[in-house]
Amino acid sequence: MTPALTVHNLTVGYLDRVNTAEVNVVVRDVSFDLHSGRLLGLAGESGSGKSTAALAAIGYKAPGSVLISGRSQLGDVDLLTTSVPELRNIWGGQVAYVAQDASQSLSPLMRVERLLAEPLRLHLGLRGPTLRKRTLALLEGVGITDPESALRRFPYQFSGGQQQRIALAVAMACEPRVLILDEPTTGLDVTTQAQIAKLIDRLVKDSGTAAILISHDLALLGTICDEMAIMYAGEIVEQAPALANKVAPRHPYTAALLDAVPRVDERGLVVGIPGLPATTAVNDCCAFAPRCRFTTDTCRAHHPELSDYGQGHTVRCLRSAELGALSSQRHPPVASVLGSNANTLLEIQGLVCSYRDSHSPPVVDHVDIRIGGSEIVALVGESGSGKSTALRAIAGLHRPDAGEIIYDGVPLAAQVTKRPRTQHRDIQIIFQDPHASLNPRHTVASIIDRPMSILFPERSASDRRERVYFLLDQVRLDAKIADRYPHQLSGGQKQRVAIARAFAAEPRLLLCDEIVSALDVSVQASILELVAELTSQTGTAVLFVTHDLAVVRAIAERVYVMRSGVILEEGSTDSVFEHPEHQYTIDLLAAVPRLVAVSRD
Amino acid sequence: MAGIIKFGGSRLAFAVITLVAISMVTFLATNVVPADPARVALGKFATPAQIEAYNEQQGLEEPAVKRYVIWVGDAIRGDWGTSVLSKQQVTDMVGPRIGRSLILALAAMLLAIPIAFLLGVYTAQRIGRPSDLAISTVTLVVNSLPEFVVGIALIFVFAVQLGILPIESSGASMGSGIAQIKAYLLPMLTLTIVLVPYIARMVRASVRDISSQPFVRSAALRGVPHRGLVWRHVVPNASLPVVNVIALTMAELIAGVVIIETVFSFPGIGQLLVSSVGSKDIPVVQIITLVIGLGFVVFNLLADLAVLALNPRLRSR
Repeated sequence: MTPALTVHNLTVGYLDRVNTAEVNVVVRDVSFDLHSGRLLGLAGESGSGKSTAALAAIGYKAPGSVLISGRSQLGDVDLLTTSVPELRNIWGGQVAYVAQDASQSLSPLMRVERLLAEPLRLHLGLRGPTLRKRTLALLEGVGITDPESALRRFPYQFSGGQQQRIALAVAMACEPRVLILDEPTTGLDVTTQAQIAKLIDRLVKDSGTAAILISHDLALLGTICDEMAIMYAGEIVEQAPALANKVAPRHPYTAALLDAVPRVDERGLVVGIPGLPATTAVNDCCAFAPRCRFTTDTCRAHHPELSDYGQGHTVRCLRSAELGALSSQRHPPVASVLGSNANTLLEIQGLVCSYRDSHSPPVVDHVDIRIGGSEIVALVGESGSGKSTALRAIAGLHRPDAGEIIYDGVPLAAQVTKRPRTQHRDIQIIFQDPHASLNPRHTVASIIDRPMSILFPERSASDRRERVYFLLDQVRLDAKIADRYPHQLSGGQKQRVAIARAFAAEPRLLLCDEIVSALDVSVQASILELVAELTSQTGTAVLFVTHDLAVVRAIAERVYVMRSGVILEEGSTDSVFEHPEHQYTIDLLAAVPRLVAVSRD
Repeated sequence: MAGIIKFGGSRLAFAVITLVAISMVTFLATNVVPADPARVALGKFATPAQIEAYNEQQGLEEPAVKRYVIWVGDAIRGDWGTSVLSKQQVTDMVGPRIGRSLILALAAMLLAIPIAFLLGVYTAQRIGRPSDLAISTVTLVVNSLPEFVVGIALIFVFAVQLGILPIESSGASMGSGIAQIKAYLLPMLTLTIVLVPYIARMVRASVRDISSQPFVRSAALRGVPHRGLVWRHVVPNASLPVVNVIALTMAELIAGVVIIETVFSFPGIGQLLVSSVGSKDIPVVQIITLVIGLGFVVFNLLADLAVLALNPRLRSR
């Protein structure tokens, strides 16, 4: 059967920002086929070129991008040589695109009816009652209840999941032959994510469209895709039928990525990938060589080509034949030895928090949490569960309506400014977005020095300077970056600086608010490793707030499951994940896509 | 719906408070002006007895608070008092001028807004290209010129050189229909030229900002042609912040009206205000200040309502 879309040797670059005569290649020699009714998963870390490749494949040129070579055959048409006015007849009609965040990708001032009608008018010339009938059918097809009233509403009046359903309806309006899904489930809650994934699966199978699903979530891709391609530095490094599920990885990057992904169904810490991802394509060596544990001199001198291992399994690695199928490097499950939890460090009793100006029920409703001396405790819940508010109350950033927060036997003042300096030192917080939590006008050294100069005024400047370098080393950052500013660092590096700053205060309790959710999977894994290692060295207790169940499994000893301000279930991570008791926990765990263990023999 | 009422109600309350404050400031300012109204009215040679009698007749010996309340009450009822200078009813003097000034300001605004949008949208799509640079430079230069310079330049071109429009606009209150229209043209054009650059620059910035939003790319990938992309997806969203800017340019517009009317001898409230301040005709100054303040508040209220009408998100809040 001929593919619906054949992409051949696609190479795309971006004009260099400084020297506009130069082009940085970000997608190199990418080839793939899309088949009717089948889903190709395209995975890779941010900057790997996966979105650029998919958009370029349908003829879209992002501002500043340059098409260097390639072909993209849709029937008799090569989309890469088609002019934009002609492409406009294809886009939205034969080829459709769904963007990551539906709240950003649907025009905010258009009602759903106009959004749906636009492609139908443009490409099919529908008008009047036929048009209306079709829009209603499309909304029903994506599971929007009461489509009549939905047509009259604006996108912002829907939840994130419903908005993505509407975006899918708009994309499917003209029954496209090819569908590009660019991270359509990222940013959604676990249960919503599962529903959208199911919907995508059904739409593709029912309509016979040929789809490509871009995601960084290997488990998700593994569950619904027929075929998978992994990208690194602008190249496809491994491609296989439903890779993660059925076939053992052969490329070291794929294997490393799989080890970096936390799993709900397997205890044990994730393994980060050292170094930073390459951002542009490399042609004189293997792009992954600097981070690979199998690197030899050959890898640094030659660029690997794709080798074929049959059944559509191709690998771009010079050593793939000799290495064979790669096994996992994950830490073996360890018994819970991290510190004794008999003594209580923090105890929260009957915590109630609400936001002024709202008559809705409290966001935190009689919550009890206990954290032992050097325990890692996770507080997990979907958005709106109140988990972050509870954390902010402990940090003294949100005044509770009721309840006691007892730290080391002493009740804490509600406001952080009313707490004594020793408590400031003892309780530190790390936020989700290091970009926002680091002062852009301070150097890394002064950011890390700041808590010390305030909390340990007796220390001399040179002592503190020494300690800054010690902390940088602890969080695996080069001493060179001490004099840099946050904007010169990557997201992962910034979060390491934030961690170093927290540990500069020598805390006994570390509050972590979604600290890995903005990071790529390899970076996320190394941050998790780092937090686990540092806290076990210092005996610091951690309250880890997250929406990601797999992250909980990877790091926490005990877990509290929260929904609508109430703790529904608590217990040791193993017992909660293996024998969940509350129906909500069972549903949550069921919604998480699994990386089915790769055969290791 | 409740959101609209709440939003509209709070804006209305705010407008009323602003008006009260304006009236108080106006009243205070005109009362501390170093001019004795009786002296102005009766002339240099009035006897103390005459002045006392005048003050009593005009109620000027009452306490300030009482006079303020009476003044506001009279103003609301439409009794705007008599001019100290001409002994005419202020209503008769100011009334017809309000209409003329309003027409002048509104016409300039109605002309300026579409021109500014066209220029802004046009340049936003050609950022960095010669046409954008040329237009941006010209608008910046014009923006930095005072109103009277623009006015005089237009007089020089259209009245002196071409001779097709009158050099001054006193004809706006008399003469034939065509002569009246001609009298409006130059002041209106001057105001338009003064207003366009700022709004156009805001439109350009806002359009550029919105154009890089993900929903514009998504619409492009739905096959929406360029024109539809700009006018259906970009401009409606880009116009939201611009409406607020237009409301703020009202202050510039009103100040502009006062100056332009003086430059062109246009028979509007601005010209009367300037001459009344000069002759210390307090009742006239008070009323005109109040009317201008009212105009400013009403225009801002309209802009708020326009934003409300354009942005569904605000309506439901």
